[in-house]
Amino acid sequence: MTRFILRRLVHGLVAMLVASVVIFGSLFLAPGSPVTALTAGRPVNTHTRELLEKRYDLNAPFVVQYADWLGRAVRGDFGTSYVESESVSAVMAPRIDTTLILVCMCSLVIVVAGTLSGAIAALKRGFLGTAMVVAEAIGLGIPTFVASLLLIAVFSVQLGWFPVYGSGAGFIDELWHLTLPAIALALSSVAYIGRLTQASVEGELEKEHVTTATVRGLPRGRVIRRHVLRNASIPVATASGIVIAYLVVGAAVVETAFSLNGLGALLVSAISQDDFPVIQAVSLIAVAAFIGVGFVVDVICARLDPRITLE
Amino acid sequence: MSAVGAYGGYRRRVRFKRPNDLVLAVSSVVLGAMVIFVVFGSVIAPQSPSAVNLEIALQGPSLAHLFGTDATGRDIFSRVLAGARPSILGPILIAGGATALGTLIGVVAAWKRGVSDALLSRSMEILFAFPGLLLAMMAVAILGRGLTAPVVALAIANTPWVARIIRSAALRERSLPYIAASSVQGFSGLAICIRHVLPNISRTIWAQLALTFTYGMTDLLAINFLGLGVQPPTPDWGVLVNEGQNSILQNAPWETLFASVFIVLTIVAATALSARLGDEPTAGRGRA
Repeated sequence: MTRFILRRLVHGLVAMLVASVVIFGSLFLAPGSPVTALTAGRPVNTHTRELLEKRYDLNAPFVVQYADWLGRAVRGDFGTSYVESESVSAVMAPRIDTTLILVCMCSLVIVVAGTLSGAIAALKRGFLGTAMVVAEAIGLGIPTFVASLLLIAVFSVQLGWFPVYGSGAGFIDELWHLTLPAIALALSSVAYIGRLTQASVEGELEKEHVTTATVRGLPRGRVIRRHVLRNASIPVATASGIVIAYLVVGAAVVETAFSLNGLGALLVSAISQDDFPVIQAVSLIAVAAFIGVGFVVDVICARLDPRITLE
Repeated sequence: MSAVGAYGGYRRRVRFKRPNDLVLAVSSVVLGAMVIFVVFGSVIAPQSPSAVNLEIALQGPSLAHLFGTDATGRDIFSRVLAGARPSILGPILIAGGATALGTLIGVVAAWKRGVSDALLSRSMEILFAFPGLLLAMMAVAILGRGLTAPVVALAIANTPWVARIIRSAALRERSLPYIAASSVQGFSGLAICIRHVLPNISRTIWAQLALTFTYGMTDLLAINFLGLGVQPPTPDWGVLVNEGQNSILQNAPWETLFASVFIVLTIVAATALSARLGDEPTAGRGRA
């Protein structure tokens, strides 16, 4: 087990390193000088240009700039924002909370609602099961930005149950403000995890070892828990990992739709303003989240099923 | 270097139930109608999609305006019809590009094995760590707003998912005895791949095409919704959903609502078609 974790950790770190080269390199290659972004397109004299180039260290060769950027990034220093003229970490700090709470709430909704609806669809026949199948098929086709606005229209404007915009103040109020965004972000993933759980449980129910357990006279609840659900949980855990890992990026859409002050909304506004240091920092965090969650999921799967090894 | 070790390495095959004939028929009708709107949308539209008339702003659905009017009095029905072209052609380009590239990579990896297989798999795994939406946003940051940058980025982002499915389909096909028989008869690998392997896995390829279309559409319209892709006044459905945002607060959700209905119908229909064609697990690519 320790060997597995260590090897998997090395894989993750290497992937992270390559991803950081891609993130830094692709924006480095972008046409147009960063000076243009810094001055918002205004013409500048040679002296100012040289000062800016010196301040933001724009003339060093790629390798030097990359090594410098990475070295500071691992210590949490992502340089200075072109737009806000304060450090990127200072720009991000007040926004991390919102995104973190949003992603956590959303993950909880996905795992609980997804597996429950899927298990019900697979184990219960009749109306409830059919209703779950239909709801999943539709939920799978609703993009996050559509879900966001439809939820606002129904629950905030028509019924007035939830606030329309903003992140709220204080923890409880913040949870309250983030409920609709979390549901909007979770919707299509709940449907996907639901369908996967259903297919996985149904597949497991047909297996010979389940028939054997039933024939041995074990109570149905025990057969379901020990023999069906445990085996069925592995593909579900893997898939949940993927969808949760992508939430940081998906958050950009709901944060914009609900006017929340999160990292995703920051990424969107940074792109409109060519604020490269911010784009690099948020992209790096998003990719790191993906690789980190991937690592956790692989370790969980290896615990659930000892046969799992790295290729 | 697997960012996604178990994601890629160890998977149980999960079989989904295929949708029945009724679902398939309805989906085909929906997609057929969308194709007609793509070609003739701006011709069918009863009014000019860009004719502004502030006197009739924010009206609800009526006989004169089937879907109502938007904040500047433009006919929403006409705008949604005219919007079919930008909203559907982009995702088709994404799906076509990703499926062509993914099939090529998947078949080559399955056929050659060894070093080239390992090399392809490793480089694809790096791509897995970049969600499509993030890659599309980075492309916009580099190349600027518009349709080109996000379409290219989303085609690249979806390629590894297609390649992985095609690779495993091609591997299964390759292990069949008739392939070895053809090999012994002296047919080249290229000939066997083109004559036998590709036709025999064509269902999987078509299923991937339809599935990639749904992911491409979700992400591309999200980019347009965020204002980073197609720009107004082009009546792209993502743009329409965004433009209708303020009208929702004035109790006139029509623009957002009807554009959303068209988006959801298209995606649900294409998903059903894909599920009918393929028996592969519809791998979640992290939807936006």
